[in-house]
Amino acid sequence: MTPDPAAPAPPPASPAPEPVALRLEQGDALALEELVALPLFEGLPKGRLKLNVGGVARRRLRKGEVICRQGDYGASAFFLERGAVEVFLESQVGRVEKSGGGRGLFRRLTSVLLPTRPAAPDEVGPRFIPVDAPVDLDRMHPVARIEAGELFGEMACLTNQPRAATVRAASDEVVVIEMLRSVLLELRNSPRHKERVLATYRARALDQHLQNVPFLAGLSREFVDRLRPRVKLLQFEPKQVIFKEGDPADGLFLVGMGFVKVAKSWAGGEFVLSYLPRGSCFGEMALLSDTPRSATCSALDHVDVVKIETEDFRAMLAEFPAIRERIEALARQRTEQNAAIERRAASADLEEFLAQGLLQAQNLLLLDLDKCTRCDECVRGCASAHGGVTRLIRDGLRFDHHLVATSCRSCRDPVCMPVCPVAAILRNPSSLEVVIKDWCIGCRKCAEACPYGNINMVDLADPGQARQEADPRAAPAKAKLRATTCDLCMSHGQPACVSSCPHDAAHRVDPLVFFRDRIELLDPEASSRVRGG
Amino acid sequence: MRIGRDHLPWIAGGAFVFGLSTGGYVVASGDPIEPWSGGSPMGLAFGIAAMACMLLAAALTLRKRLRNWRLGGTSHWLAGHVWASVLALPLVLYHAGFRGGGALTTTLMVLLAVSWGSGVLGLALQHILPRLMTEQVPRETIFEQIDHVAGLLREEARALVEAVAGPIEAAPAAAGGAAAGGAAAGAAAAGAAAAPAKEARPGSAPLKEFFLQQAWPWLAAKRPARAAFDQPSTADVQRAHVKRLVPAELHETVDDLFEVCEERRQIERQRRLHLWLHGWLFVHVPVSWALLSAALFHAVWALSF
Repeated sequence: MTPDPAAPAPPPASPAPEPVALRLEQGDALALEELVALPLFEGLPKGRLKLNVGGVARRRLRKGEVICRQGDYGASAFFLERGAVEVFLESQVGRVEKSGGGRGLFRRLTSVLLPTRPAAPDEVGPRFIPVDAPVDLDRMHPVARIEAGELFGEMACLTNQPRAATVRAASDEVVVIEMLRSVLLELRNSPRHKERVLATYRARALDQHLQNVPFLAGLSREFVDRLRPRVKLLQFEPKQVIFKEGDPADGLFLVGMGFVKVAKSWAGGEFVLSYLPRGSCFGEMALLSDTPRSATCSALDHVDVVKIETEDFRAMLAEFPAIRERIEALARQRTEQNAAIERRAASADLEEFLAQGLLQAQNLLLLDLDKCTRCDECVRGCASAHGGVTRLIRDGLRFDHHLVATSCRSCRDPVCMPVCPVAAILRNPSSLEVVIKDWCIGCRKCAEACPYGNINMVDLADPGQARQEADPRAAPAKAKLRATTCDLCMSHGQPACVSSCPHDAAHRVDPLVFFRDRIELLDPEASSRVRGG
Repeated sequence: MRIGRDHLPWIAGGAFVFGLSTGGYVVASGDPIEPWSGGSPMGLAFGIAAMACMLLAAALTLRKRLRNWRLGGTSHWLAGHVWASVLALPLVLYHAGFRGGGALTTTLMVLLAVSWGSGVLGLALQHILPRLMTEQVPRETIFEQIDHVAGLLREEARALVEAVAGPIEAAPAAAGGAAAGGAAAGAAAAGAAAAPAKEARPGSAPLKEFFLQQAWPWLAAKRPARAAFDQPSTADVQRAHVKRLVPAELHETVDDLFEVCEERRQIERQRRLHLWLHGWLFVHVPVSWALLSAALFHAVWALSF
């Protein structure tokens, strides 16, 4: 009946995803002759196409008709043959709150005592939201247009993730080629297709991609034009290594599609330093210091990366001193973060510690059960700080005489991050806590992935309002859920659960520091590693 | 609330005020010409100080309502609540000159005694019971979910026995009316458990009889009375007895059944401890508010006339 105390809490139950279409049910299935005649499949052997007859259909749509909807599961990708389509988010871009504070004069008078609005974590971050299309969505106006000749919906098709955005016809006569996964994989293996994708990327997406990398802001148009014909598009299969720790540095990489895992080898296996979503860059540290690669980067799923060669990178640094300073600062920050993570990872190996996943945690909410009167003030405090929606459950596993409460642990390997189809889960660059951004589409993937059940799905009060303000023609919203997790009450100075506890029983701690004495008692060798000895 | 090092400033401040007040009272009340009166300047000072202590203690409620305000940690406010309340008692006694008075004064004294006494009791309970609960209830659950979990356990136990002894039709509905949520959850748990055996395994009859006669009524009761399962030691004796009655291949089922009963025992223990841990507040909070209201009335009345 009772779960095994050594096992992590099971993930929250969620409804099964909608069945994935195993065959195309809409549109006219294309015959072999039509497939061969399609410029999209130019270069693919006829024999391979013959195997895929029935896996490609042509759909004709009128303006306003929806091609795929955010949150749905689908096993197909789309090629826009004619016309234009709009890509937009249906979810409400805003915070999860159920009640407001005071207003007017009273609010102004009490503003000294009241915390600042918890906006800070959500107001930082990238300008563009990555979606499953060749364009990214501007956070301020999450609607974009795709013209004929583009492919979209690849990630949902390849990885069985939910659709990251809704796509609908934006012109009167839209023709879309819908293809199943097997066809898409054939296409991805085709050299002609790769050339086409690279050409499209160079022509349309490179500028936006470079703009989305904060430290590359300020690149001149002339330099980007110079860079345009020189960048390379590389595709990687899941788990394929992009470069290994110790390899010589040969370029800077920008993530165009999928997630890249950054990990270091360790005596106990490997530990993950970061997951990089689309729009991120990596590989700059070794280039700057002219040293071998300090970590292994590999594809977590189907990944497209754009490579900027070493000589172009060096030319950029020479031409733009401000960019050089920013990159150097970023490299220093990453070096410090990685060193801190390494120190922690090498510090303890107690069985129970490991079994409860405490080694993974960077920031635990612990309740001292010898002091806690089970009054639930911590839960009320959390709800109060987050608009009436608690992000903490006073339940969980015990370690020593402490309860490890069900609240985000800011895991060293945040497995919730790479499953997000819109890369809405990020890490705060300085404090490393996990932050769920307000463009979450409520697909539940992160809640299912969290091994500790620390991500809650919350029903939104009015999901349609903000979207319709951005786009009055938008269809009624489907996504009504939003993932929430502990944000450590960044704007309150101290986590509300901790400050609300009348019995001084709630503490936010680094487990390796907090339990150091206990680890020493049980395992002096591990303790010496905690101290860095 | 545990009194620790962080309470030292409060204890030192309270001791200082207590010493000063005691000295002042001893000097002033020893005047042979003018007998002690609560209306004298010194008596009024004690009254005002006592009132201030009570208001400071009551401010904890305000702090708990304004959780989101930057007013310092609630634990500091609770420490202030405790030590201001402790100090209020001698200040009130000095103000009254250790004498009773009319109906209002007597009422105030009774309310103060009850509020102070229940507070001290609560402090003592909060010192002892959390640790006791941690030690005695390792399978603790959320208090509000105890009925739900009890329902799950009941049906889990039934499923365990049915898996070896065949369907149990004679098991009555939850005796004493277990919570509806618990019954529903239990049904769900039973659905997820192993299906009943079509035929009873040889030698399972004593287990079935034990279940029907002893385990099921105990598990199904909303508030299980003390029984063989109520202490780990007596439960172990029972377990050994049942194991002697059934073949060895059923011993694992017996162990599982007693584990379920052990968990039920623990959460019932949790319920009792939880009620002790918070039950004193049902006296302390209303009496304290009554005391504060009566004291304010007393102050306005005394200053007006």
